[in-house]
Amino acid sequence: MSERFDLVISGTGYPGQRRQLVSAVGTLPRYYQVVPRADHHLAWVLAACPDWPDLVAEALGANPLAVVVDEPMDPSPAAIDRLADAGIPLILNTPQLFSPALAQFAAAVGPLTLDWVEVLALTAGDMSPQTALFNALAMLQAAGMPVKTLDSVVVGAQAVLADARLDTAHAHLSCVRGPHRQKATIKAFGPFGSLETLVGDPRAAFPGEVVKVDATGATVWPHSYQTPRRLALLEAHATMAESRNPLHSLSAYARPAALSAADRHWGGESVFLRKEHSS
Amino acid sequence: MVSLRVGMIGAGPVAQAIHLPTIARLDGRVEVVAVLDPNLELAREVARPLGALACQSMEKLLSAAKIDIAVIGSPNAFHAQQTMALCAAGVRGILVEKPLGVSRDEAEQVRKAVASSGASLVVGAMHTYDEGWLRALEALRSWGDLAGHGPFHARLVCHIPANEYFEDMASQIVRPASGGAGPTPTPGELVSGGVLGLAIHNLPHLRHFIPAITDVAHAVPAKPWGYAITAVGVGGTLELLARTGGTWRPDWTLSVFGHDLSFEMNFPPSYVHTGSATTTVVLPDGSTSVFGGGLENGYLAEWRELLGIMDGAEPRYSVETLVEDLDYALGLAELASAAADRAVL
Repeated sequence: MSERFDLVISGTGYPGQRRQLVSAVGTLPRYYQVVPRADHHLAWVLAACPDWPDLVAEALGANPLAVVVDEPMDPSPAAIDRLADAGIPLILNTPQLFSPALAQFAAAVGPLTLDWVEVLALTAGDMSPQTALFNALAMLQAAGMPVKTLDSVVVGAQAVLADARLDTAHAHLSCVRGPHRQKATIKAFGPFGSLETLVGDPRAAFPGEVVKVDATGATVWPHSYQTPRRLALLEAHATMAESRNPLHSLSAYARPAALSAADRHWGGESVFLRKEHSS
Repeated sequence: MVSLRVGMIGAGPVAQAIHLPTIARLDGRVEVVAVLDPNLELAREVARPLGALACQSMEKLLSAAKIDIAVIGSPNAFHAQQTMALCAAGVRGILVEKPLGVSRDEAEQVRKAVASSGASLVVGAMHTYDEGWLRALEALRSWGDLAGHGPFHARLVCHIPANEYFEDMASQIVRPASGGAGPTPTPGELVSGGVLGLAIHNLPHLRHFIPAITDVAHAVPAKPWGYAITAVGVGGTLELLARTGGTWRPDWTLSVFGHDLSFEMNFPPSYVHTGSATTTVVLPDGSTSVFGGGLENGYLAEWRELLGIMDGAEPRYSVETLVEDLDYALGLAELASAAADRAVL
């Protein structure tokens, strides 16, 4: 029989975030029970607030088996490094990181040679531009396409746009905020043709889509109707039950944090331009 | 009913795969009587099944064919000069492919020539006549001042296979032997060519939301052909992404995001006659409205527009508006070209 862990939730997160997590826990009744406090538990920190590193540090002090850092606001490499020193598995969760479609995409893109990648992420209206950019960079890394450098970042009133370089490809990232449903698309092109994914709203068990088009036709991957938070919960369970390293360790995302870290704000009525080069 | 006499200027795929199939849908209102191309053999091949005259020069076309309407599908560099020559010759209707010219001086000369001749002019930006756009725009305006929904972010994506893929589905294309490769273009020339060759289809749409483009932050060409352009302007930000020439799912989408509403227009690929675009508007209350999706595409609509103007209707787009559209495109092309050349330094 599988081991059942106590789950302790802290932080408030975005509106509705706690409810979404509790709903996801409700789909795994044999793996978790939500409790106010416990020992040897999974700590889940709703981290969409400026003092999230303090919340995570506090959670680490309660002797958990692992900590999930859920949608950290404006993560900095320094905060990530400091928290990693505790030696307890820290699992990063962002809106798309555990999307089943993203995992399918990552598996499919591995053997392909790419020269052009486009990312569109429609985000919540109350997310900062740094966080939106971090989430998009983290999504690319999770898809097996880590960004090496950023050539240009433009922050407007509604969108943050970045041009970046991967190993062999140019990447163009767009994060658009607004009242719309959240979703993301990645389109990767190369001499073979294209591989694209639609990652659905993480608040619902939207199946998303992965499609490869090449000279022989199109391939569509099977749909998976699970929310990313449910899959994050499964990953956390495996990390604790098997005493192994997590798939998306927070410390593995220090580079996206470094690339996205800057004093940015939405342009409001006046759109402003920012150009930067990082090595 | 007597058909209006049409002369085709340029016998390439635009004439063969776009305008001839569209003319065939006009219930005999027009008849192609002449085909002009510097490649006389190509002109003959295209003209033969139509029973039309084939010729190599504008003089021959004007003197021998007595045309009412001319369709200009020649290379961009000739559009303005040919439009002016047709105006001077008293041709009543002109459908010139975009762009109207390649400089502001040319555009101004065309404006004067059209005004003095009284010719009816339509620029073949088919998406600007597409019912999926026109109906959505009418609805957007009925919900209040457009600018009140800004600032905006606009995203124009054109991921389309090679033109030949679609041309052969639209008609039985006659292709001349390809010429040798020219000099290698600079990144700036590639990006500028992309703006004036592809993005230009939808720049008139973008003008409604971003009335002026003030800077291009980043521009790079894509292989086999395409570009990524990030720009800022009055009213918001925009990004233009294109990639053509390979094997992928066609996607020609214009998305506009305001602070309280958004819309997405999905256009059919060029050449094929698959009906109109579909526009989905998401309103502030989260409800959606869908416009377009009819059986008539923008090519047919631009021809109906020309015939309507020749019958006395007010043009949907004045020549002044068409000149402003070109100025917008030229401005973006210049900024993007400079940014692309700057990026490789």
